[in-house]
Amino acid sequence: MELNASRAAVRQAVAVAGAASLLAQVVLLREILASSHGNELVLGLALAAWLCLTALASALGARRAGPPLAAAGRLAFVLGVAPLLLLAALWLTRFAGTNALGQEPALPTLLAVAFVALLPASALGGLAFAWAAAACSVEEQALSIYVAETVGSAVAGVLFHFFFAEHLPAAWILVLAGAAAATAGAALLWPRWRMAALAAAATLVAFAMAPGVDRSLVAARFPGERILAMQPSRYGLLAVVARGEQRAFFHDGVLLFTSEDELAAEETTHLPLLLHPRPRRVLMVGGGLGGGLALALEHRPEVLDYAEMDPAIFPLARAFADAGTRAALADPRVHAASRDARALLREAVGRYDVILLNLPVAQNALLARLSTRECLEDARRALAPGGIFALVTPGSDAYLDPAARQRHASLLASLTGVFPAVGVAPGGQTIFWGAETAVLARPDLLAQRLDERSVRPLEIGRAWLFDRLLPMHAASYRRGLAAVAAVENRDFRPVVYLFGLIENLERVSPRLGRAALAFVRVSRAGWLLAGGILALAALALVVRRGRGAPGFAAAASGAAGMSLEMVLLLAFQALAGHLYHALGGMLAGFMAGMAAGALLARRVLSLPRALAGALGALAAVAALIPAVLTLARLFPAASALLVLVGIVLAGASTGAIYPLAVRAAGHPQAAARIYAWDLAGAAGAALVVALLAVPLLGLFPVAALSAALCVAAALANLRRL
Amino acid sequence: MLSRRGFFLTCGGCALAASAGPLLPGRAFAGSTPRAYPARFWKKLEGKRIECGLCPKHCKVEDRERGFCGVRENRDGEYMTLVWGQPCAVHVDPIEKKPLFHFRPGSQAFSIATAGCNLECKCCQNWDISQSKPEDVDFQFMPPEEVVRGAKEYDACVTFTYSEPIVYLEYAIDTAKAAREAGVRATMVTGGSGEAEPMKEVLKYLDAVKVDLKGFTEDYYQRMCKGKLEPVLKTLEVIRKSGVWLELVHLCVPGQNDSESEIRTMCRWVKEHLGRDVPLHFTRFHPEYQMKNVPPTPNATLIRCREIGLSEGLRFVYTGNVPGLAGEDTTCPSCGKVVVARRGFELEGLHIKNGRCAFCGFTIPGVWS
Repeated sequence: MELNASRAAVRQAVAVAGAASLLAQVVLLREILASSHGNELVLGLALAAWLCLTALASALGARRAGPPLAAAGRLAFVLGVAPLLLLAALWLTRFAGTNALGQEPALPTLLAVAFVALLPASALGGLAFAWAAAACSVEEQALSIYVAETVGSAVAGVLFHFFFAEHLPAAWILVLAGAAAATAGAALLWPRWRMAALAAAATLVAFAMAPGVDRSLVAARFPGERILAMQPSRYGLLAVVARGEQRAFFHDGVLLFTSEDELAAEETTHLPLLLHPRPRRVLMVGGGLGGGLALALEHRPEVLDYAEMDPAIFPLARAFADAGTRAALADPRVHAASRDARALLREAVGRYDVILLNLPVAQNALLARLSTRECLEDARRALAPGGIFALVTPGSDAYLDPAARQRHASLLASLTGVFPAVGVAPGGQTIFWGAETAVLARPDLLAQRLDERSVRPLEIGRAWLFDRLLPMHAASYRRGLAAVAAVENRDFRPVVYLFGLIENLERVSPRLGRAALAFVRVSRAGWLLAGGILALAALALVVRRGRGAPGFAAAASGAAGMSLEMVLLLAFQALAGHLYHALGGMLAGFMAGMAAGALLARRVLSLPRALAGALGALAAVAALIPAVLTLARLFPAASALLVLVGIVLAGASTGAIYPLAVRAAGHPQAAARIYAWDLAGAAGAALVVALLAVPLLGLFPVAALSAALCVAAALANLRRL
Repeated sequence: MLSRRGFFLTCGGCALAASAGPLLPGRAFAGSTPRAYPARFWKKLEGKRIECGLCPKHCKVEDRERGFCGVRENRDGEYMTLVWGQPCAVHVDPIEKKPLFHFRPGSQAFSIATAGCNLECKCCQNWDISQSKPEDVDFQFMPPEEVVRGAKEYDACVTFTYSEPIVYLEYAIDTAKAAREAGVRATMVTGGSGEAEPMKEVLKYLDAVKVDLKGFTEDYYQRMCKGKLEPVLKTLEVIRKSGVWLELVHLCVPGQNDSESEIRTMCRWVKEHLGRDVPLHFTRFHPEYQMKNVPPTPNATLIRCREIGLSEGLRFVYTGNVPGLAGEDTTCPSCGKVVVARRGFELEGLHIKNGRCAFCGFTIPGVWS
């Protein structure tokens, strides 16, 4: 068999491989998240595993590449089997699901499944890059491979964000990606009828299997259940499951709410609304579709605004929620919309008598930003005179475990930093409230308001109110919180999600959870972490100053690039809201910046100390990020533009390192190894930054650490051409 | 090349940086060292080994090790309890929350719990204490007299609840005894997985016990709770024979322990071995612990279970955790009128006088005064 391994064909092949690999990454991570009941810790670890596996595959691929023609043949082969490879990876995610008891697997099981499931797809990305690089033996071509791969990933990111995520099931996305890869791989083969036959065969088999794989995933996720609807949305996978008359709504495998659960809705809705003598204008964020909206209407508001993040939930609720919720959604007083709650609060100055935020335990920055001090300041401004802000968050009736206590302490500290008067009713669902003056929360008064409003709840009566508002409970709760050090939850240091992650970890692996909490509660743990990172950098400096310095440069740039990308995206999310398409655009901007940076670097390849200079530039960009973010905060209208400029700059200065590091390594075969170091650095950063450094240290110190890391790498490469 | 000296200087700098800035302005890790008190209900084996006799697990514990419950430790051949007088949860709850429906309706329960449990239920509501060791939780020192004083302050009975009182039985016995001496009632909420002798000891001082009959198959107990059914059934008979007021709760976990045959078999056993007057509550499961994403029990299931109980001849069968659902009120078996009307924790009507139905005079079993 001859090979049609022209430069253009190889570039196209690697671009498609990059696209397929990125699509596989986002789809598989989404599926793992859904199967593991939204365990964000698993997501972080799985992302790091993905990057590591790709790096490993790239490094191994480089060893087994052979001469250019053989490498091109291998590339064609791996792309040819891509449809089946990706489908197999998707099928494997089913084992991250619940067992017959509906019980989540233990963390090691989840991680093992994530690792195995990600292996085929990350092998595709890593091997394709290594063999494409080997197929082009000339240095400049290795650079063009990097650019092509980056551009392919950027295009795939845009496609997924703007089209695939909401309109196609997982199996179809992967089959399409695999089919494109198979076609590109076959384009490398000659004669062309064989190419067509191969591509067609792989694609047909994958298309034939796709529905079965999708069904298998659903069956694994909801064993023995009757599924009424399954809807991919931009934020995850929504599902409605029927059990008799009961309807249960899931998002990424996490139980959102069920019908017939008025009791839970009563607890979180009535008390906050009873605290106000006459709630005319009410804003609810979350907790409305499980019965809360219908109950809030019993307090006779004139306007009831309701915000949910995911627009796809409303059609499902209108079709499957209980009659009360369906009626509430049709009530003219109710304005239910998919809106960012932060944006809503900022715009509604002096508007609401009651603002009620009903939030699950925050396990990511997206949820944590709804309880930061800055968010609470917006909420305070959005209150009408005499208005009350209430925040409902999961707690405990009997005992608040240490991680939850730390989370509650942070929330309380943020509230007391904003509102002059703060109260709390601890319980299974703990209710915090804040106002300008002390709120009368006497059980008899609240019970009287129930009568006045002719509200007749199932459970919330005099006895419940006396129980929930017993001074002994609040005093004991406050004593418990006072015993732990409270850190305010801030936009640029969203500490509560770290405690949310640990709470979840405690449930699935109690020992690990306790160990994690012990670590983060150690005084100055964040700085220990930062010191550890710098010490590692110093160690790498010693070890890698010789032959491995370019690898160290690539790893440092991978880590810094990933860190800066996360810092900027999280900052944008905190400032401007989770604007889904804008975030997609930002990601594409980072990738485009990388490609542009790599192309620009071509012009300085022969300059002395170009690599050290580029690392210095990346360090400078990292050091500038806090200034960019401060400006973005000061000028909200320009925040998107400023962050976009920051992200393109960060991408460009990251992308420039790769070709220079390959050049510094001194031989074109190093392309795949340098790529592997780049990915390994990114993997480490994804794990440490997202799970620990951002919540513990905050965004600015993370940017500073990235700068320090790049300076260390620059020093290690100072003597190199 | 960085010299060794340079490297150590860099590391030193990092260490300095690490100690410079405050992050979580630290306190020690929650949970202090618990005090140890001599345990009862155990026997010596060869060497320093001992065998715990508190529950059917009969843990054989080596020196410096603990039993399954994690709160009893072998120290040089002496068995010690690490939770006596050291509750980590202290609350005042309505008695209906336990639930005890035939025990002083509308009264309060001064509720205490320590860490530890001899089961490991996948859907435990209080897993954060039941599955913890004493040193992992924040506790306070509260000897029996202080517990009794607290109960008196709230005109409440003392209730051992939330986690598993059997694992802190010495503390429960001493507290219940102190309560009786002070004229305060004492109740216990337990999984019932205990040995007969220790149970008889605590029953001497108790006024009511609520037992969670978690399922009615050995398989369920093994899979879901790491326990056994048989010892629980024996405990139930011991309690019934002691004359202490007994109520049962069956948490209906969807698809796990709510089949018609299992419920029917259980109701028959209750009637045959405990009598038809023992109240049986079918309560709704709520997503918790390792079953956080399993939807709650559908209402229809609870209603069906209650109907099975009534059809099997049990006189007082309730639904629980769903206020407003049929099955919260106590009905007189004789005249059929509602003698205790409830809505959640709310007591909406009490028509019992001197333990008898106010309408027809029929004796309603329970502790009403």
